[in-house]
Order: sequence, then C-alpha cells, then structure tokens
Amino acid sequence: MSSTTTDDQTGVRIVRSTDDRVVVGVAAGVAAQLGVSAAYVRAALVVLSFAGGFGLAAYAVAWIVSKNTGDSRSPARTTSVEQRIGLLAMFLALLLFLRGIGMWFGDTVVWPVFLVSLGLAVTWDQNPRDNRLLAWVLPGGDEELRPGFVRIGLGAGLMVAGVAMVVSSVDLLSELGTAMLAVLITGGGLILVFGPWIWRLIGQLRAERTDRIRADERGEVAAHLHDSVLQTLALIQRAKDPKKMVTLARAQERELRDWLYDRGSAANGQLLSAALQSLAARVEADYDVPVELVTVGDAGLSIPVEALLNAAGEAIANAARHSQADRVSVYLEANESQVDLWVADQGSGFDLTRIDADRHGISESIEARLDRHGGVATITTQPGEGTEVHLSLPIEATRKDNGS
Amino acid sequence: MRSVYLVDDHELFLTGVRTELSEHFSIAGSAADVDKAIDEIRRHSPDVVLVDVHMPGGGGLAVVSNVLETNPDVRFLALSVSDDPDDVIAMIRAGARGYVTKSISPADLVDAIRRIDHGDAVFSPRLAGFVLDAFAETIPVEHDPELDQLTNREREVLRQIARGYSYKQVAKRLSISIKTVETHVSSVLRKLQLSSRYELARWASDRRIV
Repeated sequence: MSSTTTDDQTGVRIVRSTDDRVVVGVAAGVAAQLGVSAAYVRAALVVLSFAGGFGLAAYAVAWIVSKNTGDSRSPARTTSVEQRIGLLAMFLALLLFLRGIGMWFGDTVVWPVFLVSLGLAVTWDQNPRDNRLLAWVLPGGDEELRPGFVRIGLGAGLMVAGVAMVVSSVDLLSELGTAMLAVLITGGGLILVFGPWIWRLIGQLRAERTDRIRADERGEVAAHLHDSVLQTLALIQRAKDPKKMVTLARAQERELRDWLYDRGSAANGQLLSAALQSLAARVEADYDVPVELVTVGDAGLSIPVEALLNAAGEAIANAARHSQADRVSVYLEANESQVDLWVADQGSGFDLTRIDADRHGISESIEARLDRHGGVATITTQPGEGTEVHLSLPIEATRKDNGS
Repeated sequence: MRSVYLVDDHELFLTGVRTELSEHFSIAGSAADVDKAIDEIRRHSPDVVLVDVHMPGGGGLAVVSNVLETNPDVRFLALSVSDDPDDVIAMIRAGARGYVTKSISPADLVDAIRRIDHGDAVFSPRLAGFVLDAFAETIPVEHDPELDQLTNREREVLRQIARGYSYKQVAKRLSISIKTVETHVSSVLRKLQLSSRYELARWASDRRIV
C-alpha cells in the first residue's frame, strides 16, 4: 500500500518514505516523486552539502514541508547500524565543512560537545526496543533486554573523553588538585551516564508509592464495608420481622455515618450529644423502636450532666418499652448554663396517679437522680395522650468548660 | 389530582416513591439528572417537585435555583439521606420550602407534599433543630434585625417541632390555631431564606453534622 501512496499524490508534495530511509526518508521520498533511484538523490545531497551547506539546508526544508507516507502497518521505527553510520558521517562532514569555512567556535569547544552528545545518544537511545538499560534495572525487566555493556562503555568513554578534552585544554590542573579534578570528572561522568536513569527511577518509585497508598486505602474501605455493611445486609435478608429489619438498618446507618464523618472519635467522647447518640443506638437495638434525636447546642460531660444522661436513658427505654409508639423523639437543648432534654412519645400514655410508689422506674431513676444535682424532672402524660418527660438541669458557673 | 415531579438519581428509591405517591398524586414524571429535570419541570410545570439533594451535575441545588428563575411558582421539597446542615440550609436558601430525610414514612411524605402544595413550609424535627442552632447565639444587630432574629413564639414552635410533634399537636399544646403555627413556620422559612446573617454559612460549615 505504501508503494502506491506516493503515486496517488498530486502536485509536488514530498512524501517521506518509511521503508527506505537513511535519515528520515526525505531522499527516498523525493526520488519516488521524481522517478529516479534514491541513491542519486542522496549523492546529490551530499555533494550539495559541501557546496556551502546547501544540501543540508535543502534536506531540512524538505523534511519540514514533507509528510509521512502514512503507512499504518509500519513497524516500530528501527534504524539499522548502516543508517546510523551514514547519519554520523553526514554530520561529521557538516562539521568539517563548517570548520573549513570558519564558522567554528574552536576545536576546544565543538569536539568535546560533539563527543559528549554522541556518548549520551549512544547510552540513552530512546528507541523503545533499544532502551535496554531501563528495562534491565527496573524490577521485572525483561532478561532478553539486558543492556549491551559495550553500549554503556562506549557512551561513557565518549563522554569522559569529551570532558577530558575540555579539562586538558583549559589547564585547570595548576589551580585545582589532581585528586579533586579526578573526582569532578568521575562525578560528572557518572551523572551524565546514570543521571537520566536515576531520574526516571525516582519517578517510577514515586508512581509506585502513590499506587500502593491508593491500594491500601481501598483495602481499608473494603474491609470496613465488609465487616459492617455487608454483614448487616446479610442479617437483614435473614430477618423475618420487619421491625427487626428497620432496627438493623438504622443501627448500620448510624454506624456508617459515624465512620464517614469521623464522629465518635476521641474529641466527641466528652460531649453529651455524642453520649446521647450512642444511648439512642442502644435503646434502638434493644427494643426495635427508632429513636429520633435532635440536638441544639452541647454540653461537656460532668457528674451532674451524666446523671441527666442516665435519667434520659431510663426515660427513653421506658418509652420504647411501654408506650407502643412507633418512635421515640429526643430533643436536647444545651448551653453553658443550662441543659434541657425532652423525651416524647405519641404512644399509650398512662395515669401518673396510679403508679405504684415502690416502682423505681420513674421516681428513683429519673426524678431522684436529677433532684440530687439540683435539676427537675417533669412528666406529662395521660392515658391515650402519649408521654413527655422533661429533664432540666442548671449547670453551676464553677463548671470547667471542657475538662481534659 | 395535584401533580408531583420526582428528581432522584437512585433508581430503586425513585421506583418506591413513585408507587407510594401514585395513589395520592398524579406523577408528572421523573428525572435522574439535573439537565433533564430542569428541562422537564419547565415544560410540565408540576405543582410540587420532590428533589434529591445529592446528584451528579450540580445536585438538587442547581435544579431548584435554575427552575425558580423561570418558573417561580413551582414548589420544591428537598429529600435526602444527608444530615449535613450545610446541604440542608443551602437547599432552603435556594428556595426549597421544606426538607425531609429519606427515612420519612410514606404517610408523612404524602402529608409533607400536601403541605408544600398549600404553600406552607415543611420542617422536620431535624431541620427545626438546625434552624434553632443557627439562630441560637444572639449577634450584634448590624443587618436587618427583623430577619436576623427569631421571635420567642417562632422559637417555641420550632422547639415543639424538634420534639417530634406535628403541626396539629403543636397548635394544641401552645393553644393556638394550626393556621398560626403555619404562619410562624413560614415566617421562619422566609428568615432562613432571606437573612443576611453570614453566621448561617459559618455555622453550617463549622458543624458538619448533628
């Protein structure tokens, strides 16, 4: 297909050849366009190059304006040894030509630069198949792709030679100690030879580390979801009682929220709202009744506040146990000087006057508990009207803000 | 029958709500993404839109603010699994007339939609708690004092709602009419939407969650 592509072109569009090329295929392309052998074109270019560099300029221009043959099945661009030598010879010819006409920075600059560049090129050939050094040093590198030590040696030798030329010509020996100079040269050579490799290795390691961290995080999330959400979902599938399902789902929801928003951490351990949260969760789990908790403000846990918390626990449990309401509402309002908490249900209610005096539930666990710390418990209920327990506790001014 | 439009990107939830509501309302349609929702709500102009807070492409916030620009008569009820006051307050300030969590019972949801349809505000206990918290501290009155503070009566109504009582029960407990309760709640909603208290935003971000 590639052989016909050039014929299809109209006008004088230069098409580079990918099959037959020494440098980038311009000569063969032009030859195909003109209908002559590529060898003539190449010869002409070389001759013209010695005539004021015209051949090289023409080649460069042709390269820029030309396009590839677009051969889609073109294999990886392999350059044969002959092509490379040809390229090198052309470049050398150019240098000599430039030197001849005086466009020259001087032997002490150009030749070392040339040698070092050549050394770098030999060592760090970017051709994927030839990038063996990289393949060799990286973990799991292909055995087959071990680098040619000849290549590295040649490259390093060229570079050291280039550097040595500079040093010997500049005559630094008198100013710097020989040992120091040797170190510098060796160091410079090492950087030149291995620098790019180390650079790439660092990038590689960094990428691997990022991947590992990401994998760890994923693993942690997966482990948590497995232990919590998946287990609960399995339990829900086996649960026969709809109430039980709701309880399981709500407990899981609570747990997941705590985890997602990092609640229940050490910082919240000292706060009334967090303690109420876990209290509500316990009652839900024990009695299969949802507990709706709304909090406004917060208070630190002190002995009186804990007494209120315990009284609240008793009131919530009572509501869940006896009221037959489908939910218990808990509302907390707290600030620096006062804590108020309401536990309300819309259930059966009861007759306060007919509660036996020896029943500890209300009088002892709720009223007396608060009374001991200067608080007040008010219970409002009637049969069929639901029940509301209001716990009110003033906080002494001496109370420490957040004891730690 | 009043028409309700549903916006939610959770297919299962959408199906469930559609079934629950179809006995009581005519379902004008549903969308799982913001663009389709905006387009269809503008065309159908339903009475009430049930909108999920969290959705790809700007979320419920984008739906509410875009539709209200062209169709100010459409009423929105925000619905979400989120407890984040930031999201809730943002939806209300964009123009939603109420907020309920997805765990709401079907009967309560129907009730809430009716209420929104009548032009009232719907405050769940949780939203009432958020608002009380947001307006809790007394601030120096630099802005509009009428908008920046709640009256004692409004505060008392919100407290009752936060304690789990329905509007009807609140009316009975405070010896006022239901209409008065609704007036108070609508007034709180207006303050929530129009108050220039920057404390609202700061409060919401300080306190990510209840």
